[in-house]
Order: sequence, then structure tokens, then C-alpha cells
Amino acid sequence: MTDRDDKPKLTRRELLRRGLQAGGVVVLAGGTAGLISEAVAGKGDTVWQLDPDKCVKCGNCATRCVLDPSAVKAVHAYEICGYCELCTGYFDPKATELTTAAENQLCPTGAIVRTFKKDPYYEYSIDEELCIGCGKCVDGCERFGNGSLFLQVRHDRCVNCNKCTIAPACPADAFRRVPADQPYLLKTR
Amino acid sequence: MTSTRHAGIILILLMLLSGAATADLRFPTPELDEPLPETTTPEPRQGIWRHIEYVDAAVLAGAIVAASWFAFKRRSRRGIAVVMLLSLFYFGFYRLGCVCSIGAVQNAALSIGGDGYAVSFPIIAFLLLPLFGTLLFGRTFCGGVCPLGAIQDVVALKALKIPRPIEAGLSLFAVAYLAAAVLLAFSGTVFLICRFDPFVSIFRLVPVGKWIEQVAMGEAGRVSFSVAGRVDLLILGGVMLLVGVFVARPYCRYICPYSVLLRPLSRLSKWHVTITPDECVQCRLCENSCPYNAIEAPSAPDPGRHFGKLGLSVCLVLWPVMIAAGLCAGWLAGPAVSRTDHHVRLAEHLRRADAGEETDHDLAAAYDRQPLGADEIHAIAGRVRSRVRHGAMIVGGFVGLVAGMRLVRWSVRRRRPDYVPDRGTCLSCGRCFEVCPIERKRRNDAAASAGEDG
Ligand code: SF4
Ligand code: SF4
Ligand code: SF4
Ligand code: SF4
Repeated sequence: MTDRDDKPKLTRRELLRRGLQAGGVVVLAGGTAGLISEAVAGKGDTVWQLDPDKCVKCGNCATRCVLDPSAVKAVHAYEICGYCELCTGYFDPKATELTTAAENQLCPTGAIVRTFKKDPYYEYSIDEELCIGCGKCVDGCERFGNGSLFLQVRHDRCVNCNKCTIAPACPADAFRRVPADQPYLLKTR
Repeated sequence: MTSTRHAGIILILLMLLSGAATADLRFPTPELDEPLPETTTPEPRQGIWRHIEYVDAAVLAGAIVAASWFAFKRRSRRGIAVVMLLSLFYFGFYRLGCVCSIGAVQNAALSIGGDGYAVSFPIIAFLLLPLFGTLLFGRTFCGGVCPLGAIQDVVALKALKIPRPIEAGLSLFAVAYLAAAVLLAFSGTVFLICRFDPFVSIFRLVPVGKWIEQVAMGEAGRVSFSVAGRVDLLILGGVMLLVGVFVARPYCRYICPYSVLLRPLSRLSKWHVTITPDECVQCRLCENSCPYNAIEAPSAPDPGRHFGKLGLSVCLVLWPVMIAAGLCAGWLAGPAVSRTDHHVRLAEHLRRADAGEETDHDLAAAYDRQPLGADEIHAIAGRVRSRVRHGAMIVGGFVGLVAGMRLVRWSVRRRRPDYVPDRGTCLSCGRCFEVCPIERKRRNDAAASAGEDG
């Protein structure tokens, strides 16, 4: 390689090198053109979200996120909620009393806030600082209640990994890329 | 006491009842005096951070140019190192190491593989800018920009010399890794490179980026100091850095899938750093200055045509054998790889359930929730299996092809009168500039004449 300058004539090796070099340029240019046409046809920036209708509350959302605690949290569609006094998302089935004592709660971190509204209605909201996204409340609510609690990737926390690490671990194939300007798949009435 | 029993009985009753409920909602929604709260939906990124990926791409281009300028025009290791550290901070600790050029290979594969995903412009830039840069200047991206390389460069304190055959053998792992990552990304299941990125957990250990953004947005009050990171990946990263103290940049040399693309481009590059632009006096001082074992000593006197010819012919015969072995390995690995696919997993679950074996109850629940029947699932799974098996064979063949090519290149002797960096493995880090006495003299002269001028 160093003898390039002292030999004015093109050696066979140098000729081969130039040829391969041109080949490299052509391959890269072709790849660029191909990928750009893909991008033009695409829909722009995406983020990760999970489809609550597919989710089976397996618990992987709590453990497989690159963040700890997970960027997935339980969220509440209040318009679906029955405001039940006996919330099966809030109370452990083995609960001995309908009080807010920790041993009566389903949530392992006590992340659900129960507020009295008017007899006999109670409002349930999630403290996202405490929620770990385990989905226990979601399961309880869906099994025996209105199914107003569900899991979502919270985008103020999610770092939008190139490939969400929960996605391949999800048994229900619930994760997908959604357009960044419509980043939630909410439950509604 | 009675109230206790009460609560329990009510709960059980309620569960029995609600199981039979068929109405749209099991419980009527209440009439409250106040409006119901809305479900909150925090945005991904706000304000000036909406399009930060484009800024990232511009920073990447700038950093490649800067690293190349320091490598060629200034011939300054210190300059390269400064660019490298800034880049480590920006792409690593501020932007959390994602997306990176290495991982972008998978986005391209997935985009081509269909499935409705399309790469975005910034990701294309991340994939291609370093490739073009390398075709022009050699691997200045590796030496001065890549955050994964940079974090290893910082800890490479006691580099040991790895014997060349071992070096060559280990680096074949990267070829297989690239091939497997492309295959899995193409089929839309896992992003292998991201899943086992050893340093991303370290970048995310301390949320520097979040702090900067919150302070800049005037929300200093909200700054949180939570530390995050997954333990298994942190251990991987820690081990990699520990090994990296003695084996400089182990990820770069033996694992990095992107290096498989960069190496040949660097061999063909238009320009490439030299230890000194002046004449080498064979003082041997630079011999051990490269922590990556990339400096090649002058070639021994010609061992005779006969040996060279023989070695070459053996390699040329071995080449097809290697390709065939790769094809076989791919064929064997196919079924295991296809198990990452959702429908294959569902089909597996159905098979086990039919056979009366124990099966995963999450998969069972997932099966109940989706609209397809068992036959359709089996049909889809069958198609995926055969496609993956073919893909795996292509991938295996590719590994054999590259391995054979490297062997042939190795067996071809070339005349090398001086100490030169190997264009494929040299990372253009500039360490060798510092030890070459000719280079030091040249620099002192230049400084002296500049002093006279000034
Ligand atoms: S991993 Fe999938 S099924 Fe499991 S809780 Fe998360 S979204 Fe639901
Ligand atoms: S039960 Fe789990 S998902 Fe529900 S609020 Fe508690 S931590 Fe969050
Ligand atoms: S994209 Fe990353 S941060 Fe977001 S939910 Fe998935 S794993 Fe967690
Ligand atoms: S070899 Fe790979 S990890 Fe190392 S600096 Fe180059 S691109 Fe980065």
C-alpha cells in the first residue's frame, strides 16, 4: 500500500483496488436509494405501545423493560369504571376487610389510590411513581369488573428503545410500533 | 369479626355473579356531581426535543468529520480523544446509546423484510454515514465517534497482545453475530444486537439526559434522581469493561456486527491514516503502541513461491467446504430460531395441548384472545418455519463465505517493506502517531517553523 506513490504505473493490485472501491460506492449508493424509498413510503416516527385488547397480564411488562421500574404502568379509563365499592382490581380476593390496609390490597406496591366520592362510589387512580406495571390490578378488574384498568407504555418514561425489550417476551404479541403523534392505544367506551 | 366474614363472602359472591354477566359493562357507571377525570397521555417528547433524532444525525456527521480532520490534518491523538469523549457523552450518556449505527442494521433489515415497518431518515443516516465515512477515511468513526467503542477505549489501560490466529478466529464471531441479527430482524422477532448491547445499561444507569432536558425546560423542580438499569445487562457490561482493561476493545474486535461491514470498506478506503507520512526507519517503536494489534510488521523475506501457492490452493479447496458447513449449521439452527416467532410459539402450545402435555398458561390465554383458528395458526407457523430455515441457511452460507475469504486473504503473501497499520482492523485512534520518532520530529519542526513565522 505504501508503494502506491513511488510507482507511477497502475499495478494489477491497484487496479483491483480501484475496481472494488467503485463497487463499494455503487453498493452503498444503491442501499441508500433503497432505504430512502422505504422511508418515504413509511409513516414517519414511531414509538412503542401495547394493545390492551391483546394483553394477557402475564407480568413480563414489569420485569422485561430496560427501565426499573418499568415504563409500562396501569392506567384508568374512568368513563368505563363502575366506581365499585368492592373493586376487584383494588382488593385482594383473600382480603378480610374492605379497608385500605396493605394486606387487603391486590397491588404489591400499594400504587392504587382509593378515594370516596359519594355513597357507594369510590374512585381509583394510579400513583405512577409506585406502579411497577405488573398488571395484577388489570387482571382483577377485567376478570370480575368492568375492565377499566389496563396497561400502557408511558411515554414520559419510555426511552423508545430501538426494539422494545418487552415485545419479544410478550406471549400475546401485544406490542407494536405506533405513530409518534398517536402514541396511546386507550380503552374507551 | 362478622364484618370480616362479610367482606369475604361478598367478594366470592360477586366473583361468581360477575362471571355470568353478559352486559356490555358488568356494573353501571355512576352519576357523579363532578366530571370524570381523563386518562392522562403524556407525550413522547415535547417542544424542541420533538425532532432530536435529526440533531443526532447532524452531530454524527459532524463528529465523523471532526475525528477524520484530527486524524489526517492535525495528526493529533489528543484531538481524536476529545472528539471521542464528547461523542461518548452525547450519544452514550445524554442520548442513552439509542439508536446507534450498529443497531440500525436491524432496522434496515426489518424495513426490507416488510411487516409494515419503514426506517426513518435519521436511522438511515446512522446506518450509512459511518459506512461512507469509512470508505473515504478508514474507520475514523470507530476511533473517534462510536460511543460503544469510546467507553471501551477509556478503560483499555493494560492491553495485552493477542496472537494473530486467535485474533482472526475470534473475530469470525462478529460475522456470525451480524448474520444472526439480520436474520432475526428480517423476520421481525428480536433485535439481537439491542437485546445484548452490553453498554446501553451503563449509559442508562444515571439519567443525565432527563436532567438536562428538565433543567433546560425550566422544570428543575421535577428532576428525579432515580437510577435505573437491568441487572443482567449491567453484569454483561461490567464484565465486558473488565475484560476490556486487558484486551483493548473486545466488543469492537470480536463481537461488533457493524465492524463486519466497516472492515472491508476500510480496506478499500480512499485515504487511510499512516503511522507517519514520512519514511519509516524501522525503529520498531510503534510495534507495541497499537492496543488493537493492528500494526503489521514488515514482511519476512519471501518464503518461496512454492509454499505460497500450496497454502493458497489448500485454502481455495477449503472455501467451499466452509460454505457447505455454514449451510448445514443454518439448516440445523432453523427450528430453534423460528421459535422466537409468535405464531410458531402458539402452534407449539397447541401441539402440546393436543398431546396432553403441560403448556404455558399465558400462551393459552393469548390463543383464546386472538381470532385465528388452530389450523390457520399451524399453517402460518409452517410458513414461518420454512422461511426461517431458508434464511438461516443463507446466513450460515454467508458466514462460511466470509471465513473462507479471510483465510484466502491471509494465505496470500504481500510485500510489506515498512510498519503499516492493517487497514481492516486499524481503528484510526492515532496512538501510534505519538510514539513514532519521525513523526515527533516532523511535528517539532512544524511547531518550530510556526513559531518563527509568528
Ligand atoms: S408482556 Fe404482553 S401480555 Fe404480558 S403484561 Fe405486557 S402486554 Fe400484557
Ligand atoms: S397492581 Fe401492578 S399494575 Fe396495578 S397499580 Fe399495582 S403495580 Fe401497577
Ligand atoms: S421501549 Fe424500552 S423503555 Fe419503553 S417500554 Fe419498551 S423496554 Fe421499556
Ligand atoms: S467496531 Fe463497532 S463498537 Fe467498535 S467502535 Fe467500531 S462500530 Fe463501534
